[in-house]
Amino acid sequence: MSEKLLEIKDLNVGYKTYRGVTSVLYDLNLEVKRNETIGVIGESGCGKTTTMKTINQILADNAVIKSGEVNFRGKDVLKMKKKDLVKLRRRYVSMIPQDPTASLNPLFKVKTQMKDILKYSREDGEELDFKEETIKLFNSVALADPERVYDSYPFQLSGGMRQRVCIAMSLAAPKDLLIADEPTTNLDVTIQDQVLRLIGDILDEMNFSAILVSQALGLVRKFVDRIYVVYGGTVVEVADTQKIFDNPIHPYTRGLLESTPKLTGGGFSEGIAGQTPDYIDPPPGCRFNPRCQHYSKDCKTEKPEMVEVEKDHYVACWRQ
Amino acid sequence: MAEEHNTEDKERFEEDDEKLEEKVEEIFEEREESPWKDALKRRWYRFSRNPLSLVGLAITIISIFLAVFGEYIVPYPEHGGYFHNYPDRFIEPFTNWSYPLGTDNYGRDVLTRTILGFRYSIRMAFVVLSLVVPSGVVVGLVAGYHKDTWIDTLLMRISDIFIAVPPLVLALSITAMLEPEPFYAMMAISLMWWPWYARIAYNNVSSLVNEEFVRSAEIMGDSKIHIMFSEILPNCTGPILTKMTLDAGWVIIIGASLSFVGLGAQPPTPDLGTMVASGSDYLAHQWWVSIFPAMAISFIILGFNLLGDGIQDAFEESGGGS
Amino acid sequence: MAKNLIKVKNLKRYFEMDAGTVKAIDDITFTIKENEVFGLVGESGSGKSTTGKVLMGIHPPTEGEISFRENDISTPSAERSKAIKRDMNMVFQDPGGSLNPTKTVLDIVGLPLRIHDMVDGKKEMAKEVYQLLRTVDLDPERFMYRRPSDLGQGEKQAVAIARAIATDPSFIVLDEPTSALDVSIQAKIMNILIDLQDEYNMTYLFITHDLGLMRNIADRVAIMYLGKFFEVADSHVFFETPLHPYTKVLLGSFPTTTKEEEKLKPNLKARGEIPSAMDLPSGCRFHTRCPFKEEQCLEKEPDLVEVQKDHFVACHLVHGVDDVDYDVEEVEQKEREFEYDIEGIKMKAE
Repeated sequence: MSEKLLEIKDLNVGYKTYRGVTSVLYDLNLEVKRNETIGVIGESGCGKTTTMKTINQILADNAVIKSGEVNFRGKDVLKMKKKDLVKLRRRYVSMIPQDPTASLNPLFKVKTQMKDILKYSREDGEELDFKEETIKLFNSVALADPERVYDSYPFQLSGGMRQRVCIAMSLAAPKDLLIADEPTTNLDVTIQDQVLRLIGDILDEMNFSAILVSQALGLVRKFVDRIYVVYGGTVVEVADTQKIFDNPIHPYTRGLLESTPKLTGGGFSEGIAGQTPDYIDPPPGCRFNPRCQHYSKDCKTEKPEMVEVEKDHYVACWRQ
Repeated sequence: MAEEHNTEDKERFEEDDEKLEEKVEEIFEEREESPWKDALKRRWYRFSRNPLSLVGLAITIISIFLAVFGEYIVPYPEHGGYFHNYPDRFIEPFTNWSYPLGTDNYGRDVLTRTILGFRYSIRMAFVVLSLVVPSGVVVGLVAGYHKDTWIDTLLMRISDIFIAVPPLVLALSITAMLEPEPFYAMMAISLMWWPWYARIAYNNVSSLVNEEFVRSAEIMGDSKIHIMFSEILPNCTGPILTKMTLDAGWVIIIGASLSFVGLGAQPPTPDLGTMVASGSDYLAHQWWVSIFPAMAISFIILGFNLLGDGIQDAFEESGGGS
Repeated sequence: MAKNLIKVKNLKRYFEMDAGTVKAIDDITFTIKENEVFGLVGESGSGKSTTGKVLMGIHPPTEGEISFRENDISTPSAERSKAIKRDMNMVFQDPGGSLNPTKTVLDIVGLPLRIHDMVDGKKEMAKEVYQLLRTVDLDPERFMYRRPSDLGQGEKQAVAIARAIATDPSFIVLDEPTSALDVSIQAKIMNILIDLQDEYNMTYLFITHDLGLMRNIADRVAIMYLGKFFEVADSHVFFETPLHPYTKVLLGSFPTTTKEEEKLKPNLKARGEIPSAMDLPSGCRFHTRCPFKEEQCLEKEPDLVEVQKDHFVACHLVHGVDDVDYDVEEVEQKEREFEYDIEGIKMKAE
């Protein structure tokens, strides 16, 4: 039985703004077992990046963690002291960011930045031959001409190459959890495909867990074991990958799948009416109810509980 | 054929034309409310987060109030001109309720004259900025929109020439050449102040020129003038407003400096700089004659500076638009 | 027989930069028929956005001719007649950037009406804008006096579309109009665009990198790579029987969600990086990434040849529909070219 590596329980997070305090994450529950890769799917504003930042505790200053637990290897991250958090970020959790350009310091060459990472994340950090280790890492992320990349500034590299450098950074030391937050959003389609396959291969070979965050269901389909669909700061559906595609239950999941234009044609669906909730004054009960075609009375008053509709397939909807 | 469709549509809508008119009237009335209120709220939130900005706002309001209504509230309005009351000269401050801040060498009430002095300082800031901001901004706007053409080069090089001269030196030379009068002092300051606004407008405009909303207006056939003043200019208000506020302080100091060296308002005019100058002879023992006007100058400038910082905060994220 | 609305002949657009010359568009020729949706697909550096901008007059051509309804438009927009500017408009990619943040929706959508003297006074403009907002599914009462910062991305784009159709143009360039939008909003906007095209008999040049989108809107598709056309065909031909290796690679990289799509996808993957437009590869510019490259590909650039009726391909190895000199299965069987060293990152897990 795989133990749980990460367990997020009833997490509630908001932000302070000029209009008041928002309520973004709303009783969010998520878990990642050892050696498993999960996908977190949601459109912009659904709270997926907020969730990832909470795991690492790198939220903005105006964030407010209202309640909940984030248990990593049994310990609650939210209650950790600074010293333990630093250790967490160096040794256990690594993140592949969405925008590689923003994450690489433009003033320093790649080699300097890699050296920093190697020094602090490896146990034998001080005694390494940094160049040799870096080249090894670059080879494993399929960077052609690793010597040249080693000696370059980030602006001299293409988007795909920068992202691969970031991936190399996240692999510098063995980690328990890899978080990839929309790692290919800013890349061209053909490069996107290459980078995702690389991440997929790495995940196959290594035995750590990963969270792959994306807006598009199609992107994660081949790389994750289970998928969480997030809307309005809470999980609306979770199941093994194939079940999500074969048998989507939640109206939002179905809406997403239908809205994705198909290569085989068929035109466009109606989309999903309405827009993302206003987190200052979110809809009561099920946050999706203003946009849902099938709502019933309970939808507007009570937050739906997770119901198991088939084995390992849970949906948060009153209509089940 | 496209025209045919348009008429079909027109027919459909003409039936409800009256309903349409009503609806549009309704919306017209609501108009003043939502967009303005929200933007103002957002600005005010950011402005008021720093308590110092509110202090600055208060000080500025007080200064302007004194400038406008000073003459009506001072205890001895006649002390603002030729007046002497030698028996009462050099009364020390905080000793006498009739003259709370003491009297000067002519026996004139320092409090009265200091308050009256606000008017000249604020007026100088007002006049100079009203001349300098429109002219400078227009030059910068036109130059920035025509970036990298001869218009740009011509206008910006001219403004560079004016910027190169140190302001005080230019002002001194001009007023020395002509008569020492507040009017010439204001003209002199204006002459070398406008290029700063040209520059700030230029920088703003040249970065906005490549924005898609400007491109969109161009490809739809909008005239250059309309694009410059109606599309681009409103987006530059933030930095310009901030600079204006901070500049008010600078203008006042330069004006006071000119007066101090005798090239601005002449005695007995209760200009703050002039008062500092005339009181400087007595600094050793009757310090209050110079010090209170000097403090008033600092007070005004402090107010504008804090206000300027606050305005900068208020406009920070919204890119300068309203 | 539908008329040709837009004619482009040997169009080139080069940008001179300090570091070198960027050949954004390097000799393309095509026509767009009336009421057609012509799709331009490609990745970054392909020149597709630049093509749209040149057509709209944002950049003048470096060489070549473009005409609109037989009128020459090889000039920047400032030199074009008002009548033409009224008849052509554009929807941009970034919803935020294309709307003036200091203006209300009323002013934004009403601007073209004012420019072309189509309304007499504020009230009449409000009436027209009211109806325009309704056609893009925005409630005029809620939105007329809003500023862009109060709108969601999809709403902003709807405003941009309302503005684009305000003068009843016959031709609209849409440059990645939904790339910045969520999938669920994208579907709505695409439906609006399709309905509008139908109702107002417009012609679209639709530019995107998303093949799924293209499949569902375009009548005819051209794929661009580093300034050149590689394949041009009617939509169903393009997607069902593509011939150019790059087209196949692009289709092969598309993230699909259904089994039917999987069947349609060629099993061909991309390799290598996209070259810089300042330093083009010799011969066929795709050879550095092409799985089938041969000697001739490094030496000579292939011409765009009509291999089948209305189906054009630029590849040395493609001579006809059933006459191609490459073998996809062969390549599928070969091991991936970049063998990377996973051992390098295999370390003892704690």
